[in-house]
Amino acid sequence: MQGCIHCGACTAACTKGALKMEPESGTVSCDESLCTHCNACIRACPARALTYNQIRRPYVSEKRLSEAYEGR
Amino acid sequence: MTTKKSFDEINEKIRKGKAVVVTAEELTGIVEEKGISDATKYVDVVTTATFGPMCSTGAFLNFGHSDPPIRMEKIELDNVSAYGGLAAVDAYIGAAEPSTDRGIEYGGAHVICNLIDGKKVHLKAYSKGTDCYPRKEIDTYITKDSINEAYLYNPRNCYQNYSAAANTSDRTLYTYMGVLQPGLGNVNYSTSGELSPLLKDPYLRTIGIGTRIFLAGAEGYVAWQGTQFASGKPRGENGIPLSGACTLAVIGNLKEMSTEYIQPAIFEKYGVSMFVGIGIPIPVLDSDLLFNLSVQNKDIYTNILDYSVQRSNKPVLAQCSYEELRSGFVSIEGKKVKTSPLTSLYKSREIARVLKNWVAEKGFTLQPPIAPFPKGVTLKSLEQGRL
Repeated sequence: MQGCIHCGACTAACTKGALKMEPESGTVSCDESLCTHCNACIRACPARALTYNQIRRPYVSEKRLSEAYEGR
Repeated sequence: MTTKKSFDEINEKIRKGKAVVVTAEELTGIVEEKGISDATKYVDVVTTATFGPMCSTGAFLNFGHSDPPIRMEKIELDNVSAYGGLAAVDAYIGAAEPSTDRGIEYGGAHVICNLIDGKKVHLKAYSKGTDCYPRKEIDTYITKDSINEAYLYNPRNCYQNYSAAANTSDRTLYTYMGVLQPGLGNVNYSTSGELSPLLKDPYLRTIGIGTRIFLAGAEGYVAWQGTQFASGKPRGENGIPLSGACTLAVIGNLKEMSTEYIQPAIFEKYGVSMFVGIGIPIPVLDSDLLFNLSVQNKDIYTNILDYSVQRSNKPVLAQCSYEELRSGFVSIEGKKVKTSPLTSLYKSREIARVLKNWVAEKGFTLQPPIAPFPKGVTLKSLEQGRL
């Protein structure tokens, strides 16, 4: 995901435990079954790397956000 | 026989391209394989790094003189106020300053990064005018190449340790430690743990004024002890303080930096901050230092503080290791609580690897401290009323 600095602030803001960051690669993934599209992660992203378009569409479960939304 | 090495011996190896240089994480495996004594002989330099948010970041700029000249008193860069209470065309822009038009969505940190990227920045300056500086207003554009000096000067970076944050209240808290969910909903922490520079040389034997470092992709230096430097904080058996202790003031040429290693940060309902990449090479002078360098996350502890208590001294909810924090969950009074980092481990590792390459392949020698930092320093509080 362009602009992501792999800090983890988005995972802190997620109240549903849907976002997870793989500590080794810094990759953020989302569990679609838990995500309520509340956008708390967008507001919390200090790098402003997450956008509404990335969040409002359903994710492919556990798929990397960067892969799922590349080019959209 | 005890191994001892000097800065000169290690630098000679670096110049010849023969120094054994590893990252602090790589050292762990070497120590497990060889033991402390043999690892001390084998390894010459250990690289450490961090990439975390630090509001105490800013840059000095000298714009050059216009004709007729102006003594800039009020200065704005892209509608972000810079401090002009210096000489006529000197300014200091702080990373945490918000803009007058976009608030915290654009601040001093963004201006600094735009300058680093070579972008044009809108300069407006105002003055009452003097006989020697008659101009009263200027409205123009600058880039890093159009101005004289541009150097990052961060009064405080590289915290030695930092307490983690949680929230026991019934409302969400928006802090410089990120979003803290109510009812102990999460714990946020900010450190690269076993990669973090001042955790690996806890008594600052090799880090002092003049230490040459990696700063945001360029060569930088430790300028002074950082603000809120507290070398007198209580320490564990391994010498590591349990909360924020020593800090560094750092300086480097902004014109040579890369936004790969320095980034603006916006914390919701808090303000602007800045992620700053710092790497420090630590020479293996003896086995005591190597022991410090080999300390792992499981042996580095921090406090978890309750940010719902709006006092400078916040109560400690629990104590935990960085291994626990990094696992994704900690236990507080029997409750399993989610943990999230604010420091980017991914970028910290990258910086440690880049610095390893600088030392091993590019002759980046180590500067012994020109002066050491004071010991036993305690923090003062701001008291109300007359002295």
